[in-house]
Order: sequence, then structure tokens, then C-alpha cells
Amino acid sequence: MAEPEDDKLDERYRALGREEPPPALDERILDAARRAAQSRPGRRHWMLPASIAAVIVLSVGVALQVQRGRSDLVDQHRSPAEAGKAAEPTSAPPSAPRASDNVMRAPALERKLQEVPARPAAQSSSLSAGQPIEAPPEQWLAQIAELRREGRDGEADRQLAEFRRRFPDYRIPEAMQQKIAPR
Amino acid sequence: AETNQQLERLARALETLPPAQREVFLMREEGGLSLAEIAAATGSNQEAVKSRLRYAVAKLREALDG
Repeated sequence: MAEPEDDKLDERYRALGREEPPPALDERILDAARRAAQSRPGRRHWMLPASIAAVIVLSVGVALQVQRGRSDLVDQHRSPAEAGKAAEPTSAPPSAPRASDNVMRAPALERKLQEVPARPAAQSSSLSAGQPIEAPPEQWLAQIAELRREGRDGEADRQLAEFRRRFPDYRIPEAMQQKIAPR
Repeated sequence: AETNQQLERLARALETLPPAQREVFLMREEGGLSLAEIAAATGSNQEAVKSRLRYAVAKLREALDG
């Protein structure tokens, strides 16, 4: 399709695409690149071992620090435990003399153990009455006394019965007995 | 050396072509498109494409011949 006169133009245009630098210039550039690559072999060679060594040193250091930290924590935990162990013999003896008391308290303990399964039902009533299970005896007694003052004798009686089941061996002070006693 | 000078003149002339003429020339030389295809691609008619191509070739040939 091209005109005959265009062949020369086409040929020259194709030559534009294949244009390359002069061989002398090309060689000079390659020489400069080789010199640049060869001039820094030392730097590149020692950087890798140095970085590896640095990583190893850091890793060992961190591992040692962690190990020391763990040992410190163990020592901290041991010292109070050891103090506790030292104190245990002193606290243990109370259990020994209590052995005789335990014989006396066995019936009370047995009552408690027997009453535990039934307690959930009773607790629901006490809970519904607003009495928490974990309330200390003094607080419970104070609440019973308050019920008496309010004239809620029925509720006071139930609470008192529950209290005696819960704390059969609790000695109620005389003043409190007067406040909670049925009228 | 003379060839390099010719190539240099040709490259410079190609850069100085009007955009429409350069576009048509490159689409033909690089893309191998026909006049009809170039016309369809540029939204022109074949006569306009042929005219632009003729002008472009003339200028480039003049630059090549020096």
C-alpha cells in the first residue's frame, strides 16, 4: 500500500527504533559500572555477617533478660509462700487442738451438711425476703430486730429460724436477744 | 556518521509534526493500520487521513534528505 518513495522513509524510520549508542560510549558505561560494582565488595561482604552477629547478640540479650525476669517473679512468689509455709506450722496447731472441739462440733457440722441441700429452697425465701446469704450474723440479727420494730413478726420469726439453722453455735448477745425475741 | 545525522533529523522532524499528522503516521507505521482503520479510530474520513499522511511523509522525507 505504501508508495514507492516511502520505502526509504520506512527504512529510516525502522532504523530509529533500532538506534543504539556508539560502541565506544557503550563500553565506557559498562567499564564504569564494573568499577562501581568491584569497588565496594568489602562493604557488602562484611555487612551481612555483622548484621547476623548483631541479631544473635540481641536475641541472646533479650532471652537472658526474659530469663532473669522470670526468676525474679518466681522469687517474689516464693518468699511470701515460704513465709506462709513458715507460718503454717503455727496455724496448723490450732487445727490439732481443734480436733477435740471438732468432736463436739460434729453434730453441728452434720446438721449443716444435711441442711445444705435443702438450703436452696430456704434461701429462695430468704432471698425473696431480702436477706443475702453472705450477710454476717450481726447484720442479719440487726435486720431481724428491724423487722420486730416494724411489727413484721412473721417475717422476723422466719428469719430468726433461718439464722439459727445457719448459725446454730452463734451466741447472740443479750441485748440483741431482747430485740429479736418473739413478742 | 551521515546515517546518524539522517536519523537525528528524522527524529526531530517527527517530533515537530503536527499532532494529527504524527498520529496518522505512527498509527500506520507502528500499528500497521489501514487508512480505513485509521479513519475509524480517529473519527475522520479516509480522504482526511490520506491527506494528513501525505503531508507527514513529505515533511519527514524532506528532513531525511536534508
